Amino acid sequence: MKESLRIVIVLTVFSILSGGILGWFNKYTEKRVALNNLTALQESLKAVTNMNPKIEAYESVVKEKGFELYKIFSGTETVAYAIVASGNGFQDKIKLIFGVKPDFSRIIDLRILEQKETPGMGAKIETKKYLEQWKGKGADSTLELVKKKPNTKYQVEAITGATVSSTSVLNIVNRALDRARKAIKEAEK
Amino acid sequence: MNLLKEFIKGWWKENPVFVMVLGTCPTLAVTNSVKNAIGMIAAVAFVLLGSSFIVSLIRKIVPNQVRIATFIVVIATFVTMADRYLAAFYPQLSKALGPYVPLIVVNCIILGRQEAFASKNGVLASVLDALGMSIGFGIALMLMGSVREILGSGTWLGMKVFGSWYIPWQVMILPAGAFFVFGFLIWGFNSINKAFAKR
Repeated sequence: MKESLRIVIVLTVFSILSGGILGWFNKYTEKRVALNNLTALQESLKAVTNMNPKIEAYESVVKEKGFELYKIFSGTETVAYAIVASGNGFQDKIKLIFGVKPDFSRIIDLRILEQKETPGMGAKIETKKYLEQWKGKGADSTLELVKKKPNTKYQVEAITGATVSSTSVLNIVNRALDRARKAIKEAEK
Repeated sequence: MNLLKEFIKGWWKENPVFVMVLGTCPTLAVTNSVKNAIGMIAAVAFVLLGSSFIVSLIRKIVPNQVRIATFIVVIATFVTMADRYLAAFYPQLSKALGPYVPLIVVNCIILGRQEAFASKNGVLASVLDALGMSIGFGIALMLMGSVREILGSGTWLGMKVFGSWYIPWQVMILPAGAFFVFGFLIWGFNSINKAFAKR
Protein backbone atom coordinates (compact mmCIF):
# COMPACT_ATOMS: atom_id res chain seq x y z
CA MET A 1 0.00 0.00 0.00
CA LYS A 2 2.77 2.34 0.99
CA GLU A 3 4.69 1.60 -2.23
CA SER A 4 1.75 2.36 -4.51
CA LEU A 5 1.13 5.63 -2.69
CA ARG A 6 4.72 6.60 -3.36
CA ILE A 7 4.27 5.82 -7.06
CA VAL A 8 1.18 8.02 -7.24
CA ILE A 9 2.87 10.88 -5.43
CA VAL A 10 6.05 10.80 -7.53
CA LEU A 11 4.20 10.67 -10.85
CA THR A 12 1.76 13.42 -9.80
CA VAL A 13 4.51 15.72 -8.58
CA PHE A 14 6.56 15.31 -11.74
CA SER A 15 3.60 15.83 -14.05
CA ILE A 16 2.54 18.98 -12.22
CA LEU A 17 6.12 20.32 -12.25
CA SER A 18 6.46 19.58 -15.94
CA GLY A 19 3.13 21.22 -16.73
CA GLY A 20 4.06 24.27 -14.71
CA ILE A 21 7.44 24.69 -16.41
CA LEU A 22 5.97 24.27 -19.89
CA GLY A 23 3.16 26.71 -19.13
CA TRP A 24 5.66 29.34 -18.07
CA PHE A 25 7.93 28.63 -21.03
CA ASN A 26 5.06 28.84 -23.50
CA LYS A 27 4.08 32.24 -22.14
CA TYR A 28 7.63 33.35 -22.81
CA THR A 29 7.79 32.05 -26.39
CA GLU A 30 4.25 32.28 -27.74
CA LYS A 31 4.31 36.04 -28.36
CA ARG A 32 7.52 35.63 -30.27
CA VAL A 33 6.10 32.77 -32.37
CA ALA A 34 2.99 34.81 -33.17
CA LEU A 35 5.18 37.75 -34.18
CA ASN A 36 7.29 35.49 -36.44
CA ASN A 37 4.17 34.24 -38.20
CA LEU A 38 2.87 37.78 -38.64
CA THR A 39 6.15 39.06 -40.10
CA ALA A 40 6.31 36.08 -42.44
CA LEU A 41 2.75 36.78 -43.64
CA GLN A 42 3.44 40.47 -44.18
CA GLU A 43 6.66 39.71 -46.05
CA SER A 44 4.93 37.34 -48.43
CA LEU A 45 1.93 39.65 -48.90
CA LYS A 46 4.36 42.37 -49.89
CA ALA A 47 6.24 40.11 -52.27
CA VAL A 48 3.23 38.83 -54.22
CA THR A 49 1.46 42.17 -54.59
CA ASN A 50 4.44 44.28 -55.64
CA MET A 51 3.77 46.66 -52.76
CA ASN A 52 7.28 47.85 -52.12
CA PRO A 53 8.61 48.96 -49.78
CA LYS A 54 5.67 48.44 -47.49
CA ILE A 55 2.04 47.51 -47.36
CA GLU A 56 -0.02 50.33 -45.87
CA ALA A 57 -2.90 48.25 -44.63
CA TYR A 58 -4.49 44.91 -45.17
CA GLU A 59 -7.53 43.11 -43.92
CA SER A 60 -8.44 39.44 -43.72
CA VAL A 61 -11.64 38.77 -45.69
CA VAL A 62 -11.97 34.99 -45.49
CA LYS A 63 -10.04 32.57 -43.30
CA GLU A 64 -10.89 28.89 -43.53
CA LYS A 65 -9.05 25.58 -43.81
CA GLY A 66 -6.76 25.70 -46.83
CA PHE A 67 -7.91 29.12 -48.01
CA GLU A 68 -7.25 32.68 -46.84
CA LEU A 69 -8.17 35.88 -48.64
CA TYR A 70 -6.62 39.25 -47.83
CA LYS A 71 -7.60 42.66 -49.14
CA ILE A 72 -4.78 45.15 -49.52
CA PHE A 73 -5.38 48.88 -49.31
CA SER A 74 -3.60 52.03 -50.24
CA GLY A 75 -5.52 54.74 -48.41
CA THR A 76 -9.15 53.67 -48.79
CA GLU A 77 -8.68 52.17 -52.23
CA THR A 78 -8.30 48.40 -52.71
CA VAL A 79 -5.09 47.90 -54.68
CA ALA A 80 -4.84 44.11 -54.63
CA TYR A 81 -6.03 40.86 -53.20
CA ALA A 82 -3.74 38.19 -51.83
CA ILE A 83 -4.73 34.54 -51.52
CA VAL A 84 -3.07 31.89 -49.37
CA ALA A 85 -4.10 28.42 -50.47
CA SER A 86 -2.97 24.86 -49.93
CA GLY A 87 -3.66 21.46 -51.44
CA ASN A 88 -2.10 18.07 -52.02
CA GLY A 89 1.18 17.85 -53.88
CA PHE A 90 3.13 14.78 -54.98
CA GLN A 91 4.31 13.87 -51.49
CA ASP A 92 2.81 16.30 -49.04
CA LYS A 93 0.82 19.49 -48.81
CA ILE A 94 1.82 22.43 -50.98
CA LYS A 95 1.03 25.85 -49.54
CA LEU A 96 1.33 28.93 -51.69
CA ILE A 97 0.41 32.60 -51.80
CA PHE A 98 -0.39 34.78 -54.78
CA GLY A 99 -1.52 38.33 -55.42
CA VAL A 100 -4.35 39.31 -57.78
CA LYS A 101 -5.27 42.68 -59.30
CA PRO A 102 -8.36 44.20 -57.60
CA ASP A 103 -10.55 43.54 -60.69
CA PHE A 104 -9.33 39.92 -60.86
CA SER A 105 -7.89 40.40 -64.33
CA ARG A 106 -4.33 39.25 -63.67
CA ILE A 107 -2.19 37.39 -61.18
CA ILE A 108 0.49 39.74 -59.88
CA ASP A 109 3.00 37.22 -58.53
CA LEU A 110 3.17 33.81 -56.86
CA ARG A 111 5.33 32.32 -54.12
CA ILE A 112 5.50 28.84 -52.60
CA LEU A 113 5.28 28.91 -48.80
CA GLU A 114 5.61 25.21 -47.99
CA GLN A 115 6.40 22.15 -50.07
CA LYS A 116 8.04 18.76 -49.60
CA GLU A 117 8.30 17.70 -53.25
CA THR A 118 11.20 15.57 -54.54
CA PRO A 119 14.44 17.61 -54.58
CA GLY A 120 15.62 18.19 -58.11
CA MET A 121 12.22 17.33 -59.61
CA GLY A 122 8.99 18.60 -58.07
CA ALA A 123 10.90 20.94 -55.78
CA LYS A 124 11.65 23.02 -58.89
CA ILE A 125 8.26 24.69 -58.31
CA GLU A 126 10.24 26.89 -55.93
CA THR A 127 12.72 28.03 -58.57
CA LYS A 128 12.66 31.53 -59.95
CA LYS A 129 12.42 30.27 -63.50
CA TYR A 130 9.13 28.50 -62.81
CA LEU A 131 7.62 31.21 -60.60
CA GLU A 132 8.51 34.02 -63.03
CA GLN A 133 5.96 32.75 -65.56
CA TRP A 134 3.06 33.22 -63.13
CA LYS A 135 3.44 37.00 -63.37
CA GLY A 136 0.58 38.43 -65.41
CA LYS A 137 -1.36 35.20 -65.91
CA GLY A 138 -5.11 35.69 -66.37
CA ALA A 139 -7.11 35.44 -63.18
CA ASP A 140 -10.60 35.77 -64.68
CA SER A 141 -10.81 32.24 -66.08
CA THR A 142 -9.56 28.71 -65.44
CA LEU A 143 -5.87 28.20 -66.20
CA GLU A 144 -4.57 25.16 -68.04
CA LEU A 145 -1.30 23.25 -68.05
CA VAL A 146 0.72 22.94 -71.27
CA LYS A 147 3.95 21.12 -72.01
CA LYS A 148 5.30 23.68 -74.46
CA LYS A 149 5.81 27.45 -74.44
CA PRO A 150 2.47 29.00 -73.41
CA ASN A 151 0.87 31.22 -76.05
CA THR A 152 -2.08 32.69 -74.16
CA LYS A 153 -2.21 34.20 -70.71
CA TYR A 154 -4.35 31.29 -69.55
CA GLN A 155 -1.65 28.70 -70.14
CA VAL A 156 1.02 27.67 -67.64
CA GLU A 157 4.08 25.66 -68.65
CA ALA A 158 4.68 22.43 -66.73
CA ILE A 159 8.10 21.47 -65.35
CA THR A 160 9.67 18.61 -67.29
CA GLY A 161 9.71 15.49 -65.12
CA ALA A 162 7.43 17.01 -62.53
CA THR A 163 3.99 16.95 -64.10
CA VAL A 164 2.28 15.92 -60.86
CA SER A 165 3.75 18.81 -58.89
CA SER A 166 2.99 21.30 -61.70
CA THR A 167 -0.60 20.04 -61.90
CA SER A 168 -0.97 20.31 -58.13
CA VAL A 169 0.12 23.94 -58.10
CA LEU A 170 -2.21 24.73 -60.98
CA ASN A 171 -5.17 23.01 -59.31
CA ILE A 172 -4.54 24.83 -56.05
CA VAL A 173 -4.48 28.17 -57.88
CA ASN A 174 -7.61 27.41 -59.94
CA ARG A 175 -9.56 26.27 -56.91
CA ALA A 176 -8.43 29.27 -54.89
CA LEU A 177 -9.37 31.70 -57.66
CA ASP A 178 -12.84 30.15 -57.88
CA ARG A 179 -13.31 30.37 -54.16
CA ALA A 180 -12.03 33.96 -54.04
CA ARG A 181 -14.39 35.17 -56.78
CA LYS A 182 -17.33 33.69 -54.87
CA ALA A 183 -16.14 35.19 -51.60
CA ILE A 184 -15.87 38.64 -53.14
CA LYS A 185 -19.32 38.44 -54.73
CA GLU A 186 -20.75 37.49 -51.36
CA ALA A 187 -18.94 40.35 -49.67
CA GLU A 188 -20.29 42.86 -52.19
CA LYS A 189 -23.91 41.84 -51.66
CA MET B 1 40.47 9.20 -14.44
CA ASN B 2 37.25 7.22 -14.39
CA LEU B 3 35.25 10.38 -15.07
CA LEU B 4 37.42 11.15 -18.06
CA LYS B 5 36.67 7.70 -19.41
CA GLU B 6 32.93 8.30 -19.07
CA PHE B 7 33.35 11.54 -20.98
CA ILE B 8 35.50 10.17 -23.81
CA LYS B 9 33.82 6.81 -24.48
CA GLY B 10 30.89 8.29 -26.42
CA TRP B 11 33.14 10.01 -28.95
CA TRP B 12 34.33 6.93 -30.71
CA LYS B 13 34.50 3.63 -28.83
CA GLU B 14 30.83 3.66 -27.84
CA ASN B 15 29.66 6.16 -30.44
CA PRO B 16 25.86 6.20 -30.00
CA VAL B 17 25.13 6.32 -33.74
CA PHE B 18 27.78 4.24 -35.47
CA VAL B 19 28.64 1.69 -32.80
CA MET B 20 25.44 1.37 -30.75
CA VAL B 21 23.26 2.27 -33.77
CA LEU B 22 20.82 4.34 -31.69
CA GLY B 23 19.04 7.49 -32.78
CA THR B 24 19.10 6.54 -36.43
CA CYS B 25 15.84 8.33 -37.18
CA PRO B 26 17.25 11.88 -36.93
CA THR B 27 20.59 10.64 -38.30
CA LEU B 28 18.93 9.60 -41.54
CA ALA B 29 16.21 12.21 -41.73
CA VAL B 30 17.77 15.61 -41.06
CA THR B 31 21.33 15.24 -42.35
CA ASN B 32 20.62 16.45 -45.89
CA SER B 33 22.45 19.65 -44.99
CA VAL B 34 25.05 20.59 -42.39
CA LYS B 35 22.86 23.42 -41.09
CA ASN B 36 20.00 21.07 -40.25
CA ALA B 37 22.46 18.65 -38.65
CA ILE B 38 23.83 21.41 -36.39
CA GLY B 39 20.31 22.37 -35.31
CA MET B 40 19.53 18.77 -34.48
CA ILE B 41 22.81 18.29 -32.57
CA ALA B 42 22.13 21.37 -30.45
CA ALA B 43 18.58 20.27 -29.65
CA VAL B 44 19.63 16.71 -28.75
CA ALA B 45 22.58 17.90 -26.64
CA PHE B 46 20.30 20.25 -24.70
CA VAL B 47 17.72 17.55 -24.04
CA LEU B 48 20.32 14.91 -23.18
CA LEU B 49 22.24 17.14 -20.76
CA GLY B 50 19.08 18.44 -19.10
CA SER B 51 17.43 15.09 -18.64
CA SER B 52 20.62 13.29 -17.51
CA PHE B 53 21.12 15.99 -14.91
CA ILE B 54 17.54 15.80 -13.59
CA VAL B 55 17.31 12.02 -13.76
CA SER B 56 20.54 11.49 -11.81
CA LEU B 57 19.30 13.98 -9.21
CA ILE B 58 15.98 12.21 -8.69
CA ARG B 59 17.19 8.65 -9.19
CA LYS B 60 16.78 7.75 -5.52
CA ILE B 61 13.21 8.98 -5.08
CA VAL B 62 11.72 7.46 -8.22
CA PRO B 63 10.13 4.03 -7.60
CA ASN B 64 11.52 1.36 -9.90
CA GLN B 65 8.12 0.45 -11.42
CA VAL B 66 7.48 3.92 -12.83
CA ARG B 67 11.00 4.99 -13.70
CA ILE B 68 10.46 4.87 -17.46
CA ALA B 69 7.27 6.93 -17.19
CA THR B 70 9.05 9.50 -15.03
CA PHE B 71 12.04 9.68 -17.37
CA ILE B 72 9.73 10.22 -20.33
CA VAL B 73 7.97 13.08 -18.54
CA VAL B 74 11.35 14.70 -17.83
CA ILE B 75 12.59 14.17 -21.41
CA ALA B 76 9.34 15.40 -22.97
CA THR B 77 9.52 18.57 -20.90
CA PHE B 78 12.98 19.37 -22.24
CA VAL B 79 12.03 18.44 -25.81
CA THR B 80 8.97 20.69 -25.76
CA MET B 81 11.11 23.54 -24.46
CA ALA B 82 13.66 23.01 -27.22
CA ASP B 83 10.89 22.86 -29.84
CA ARG B 84 9.20 26.07 -28.65
CA TYR B 85 12.56 27.83 -28.40
CA LEU B 86 13.46 26.96 -31.99
CA ALA B 87 10.01 28.04 -33.21
CA ALA B 88 10.40 31.37 -31.44
CA PHE B 89 13.97 32.27 -32.28
CA TYR B 90 14.93 30.18 -35.32
CA PRO B 91 11.66 29.84 -37.30
CA GLN B 92 13.48 28.83 -40.51
CA LEU B 93 15.42 26.03 -38.84
CA SER B 94 12.32 24.93 -36.95
CA LYS B 95 10.46 24.62 -40.26
CA ALA B 96 13.31 22.68 -41.86
CA LEU B 97 13.57 20.20 -38.99
CA GLY B 98 9.80 19.79 -38.97
CA PRO B 99 8.48 16.93 -36.84
CA TYR B 100 11.97 15.66 -35.98
CA VAL B 101 12.38 18.02 -33.03
CA PRO B 102 9.29 16.73 -31.16
CA LEU B 103 10.42 13.23 -32.14
CA ILE B 104 13.55 13.61 -29.97
CA VAL B 105 11.25 12.34 -27.19
CA VAL B 106 11.53 8.84 -28.62
CA ASN B 107 15.21 9.12 -29.53
CA CYS B 108 16.77 5.97 -28.09
CA ILE B 109 20.05 7.69 -27.27
CA ILE B 110 18.31 9.82 -24.67
CA LEU B 111 16.11 7.23 -22.96
CA GLY B 112 18.99 4.74 -23.32
CA ARG B 113 21.42 6.99 -21.42
CA GLN B 114 18.88 7.59 -18.63
CA GLU B 115 18.18 3.89 -18.24
CA ALA B 116 21.75 2.68 -18.65
CA PHE B 117 23.68 5.43 -16.93
CA ALA B 118 22.01 8.45 -15.33
CA SER B 119 19.64 6.36 -13.21
CA LYS B 120 22.60 4.50 -11.67
CA ASN B 121 25.31 7.16 -11.37
CA GLY B 122 25.96 10.46 -9.69
CA VAL B 123 25.23 13.90 -11.14
CA LEU B 124 28.76 14.74 -12.29
CA ALA B 125 29.36 11.38 -13.99
CA SER B 126 25.93 11.55 -15.66
CA VAL B 127 26.46 15.03 -17.02
CA LEU B 128 29.89 14.06 -18.36
CA ASP B 129 28.42 10.93 -19.91
CA ALA B 130 25.64 13.00 -21.53
CA LEU B 131 28.15 15.54 -22.81
CA GLY B 132 30.35 12.80 -24.27
CA MET B 133 27.39 11.11 -25.94
CA SER B 134 26.24 14.45 -27.37
CA ILE B 135 29.70 14.94 -28.85
CA GLY B 136 29.56 11.43 -30.32
CA PHE B 137 26.14 12.15 -31.79
CA GLY B 138 27.51 15.46 -33.08
CA ILE B 139 30.49 13.79 -34.77
CA ALA B 140 28.17 11.29 -36.44
CA LEU B 141 25.68 13.88 -37.69
CA MET B 142 28.40 16.25 -38.90
CA LEU B 143 30.01 13.41 -40.88
CA MET B 144 26.67 12.39 -42.39
CA GLY B 145 25.63 15.98 -43.08
CA SER B 146 28.97 16.96 -44.63
CA VAL B 147 29.19 13.97 -46.96
CA ARG B 148 25.56 14.33 -48.06
CA GLU B 149 25.61 18.08 -48.54
CA ILE B 150 28.95 18.13 -50.38
CA LEU B 151 27.99 15.32 -52.76
CA GLY B 152 24.29 16.13 -52.99
CA SER B 153 24.35 19.91 -53.34
CA GLY B 154 28.03 20.68 -53.95
CA THR B 155 28.08 22.97 -50.89
CA TRP B 156 29.16 22.85 -47.24
CA LEU B 157 27.10 24.89 -44.79
CA GLY B 158 25.83 26.81 -47.83
CA MET B 159 29.32 27.61 -49.16
CA LYS B 160 30.25 26.38 -52.64
CA VAL B 161 32.80 23.56 -52.53
CA PHE B 162 33.07 22.68 -56.19
CA GLY B 163 33.15 24.87 -59.30
CA SER B 164 30.28 25.13 -61.72
CA TRP B 165 31.43 21.92 -63.49
CA TYR B 166 30.10 19.82 -60.62
CA ILE B 167 26.72 18.24 -61.19
CA PRO B 168 25.14 17.61 -57.75
CA TRP B 169 24.59 13.99 -56.98
CA GLN B 170 20.97 14.49 -56.08
CA VAL B 171 20.33 11.04 -54.66
CA MET B 172 22.56 11.94 -51.71
CA ILE B 173 20.07 14.45 -50.31
CA LEU B 174 17.18 12.01 -50.80
CA PRO B 175 16.42 9.32 -48.18
CA ALA B 176 18.20 6.66 -50.27
CA GLY B 177 21.45 8.65 -50.04
CA ALA B 178 21.14 8.74 -46.27
CA PHE B 179 21.14 4.95 -46.14
CA PHE B 180 24.15 4.72 -48.48
CA VAL B 181 26.25 7.11 -46.43
CA PHE B 182 25.10 5.59 -43.14
CA GLY B 183 26.09 2.10 -44.29
CA PHE B 184 29.52 3.19 -45.46
CA LEU B 185 30.23 5.13 -42.28
CA ILE B 186 29.20 2.20 -40.03
CA TRP B 187 31.49 0.01 -42.10
CA GLY B 188 34.33 2.49 -41.68
CA PHE B 189 33.84 2.82 -37.93
CA ASN B 190 33.66 -0.89 -37.36
CA SER B 191 36.69 -1.76 -39.47
CA ILE B 192 38.78 0.85 -37.68
CA ASN B 193 37.58 -0.44 -34.28
CA LYS B 194 38.38 -4.02 -35.30
CA ALA B 195 41.83 -3.11 -36.52
CA PHE B 196 42.55 -1.50 -33.15
CA ALA B 197 41.13 -4.45 -31.24
CA LYS B 198 43.45 -6.87 -33.01
CA ARG B 199 46.56 -5.06 -31.85
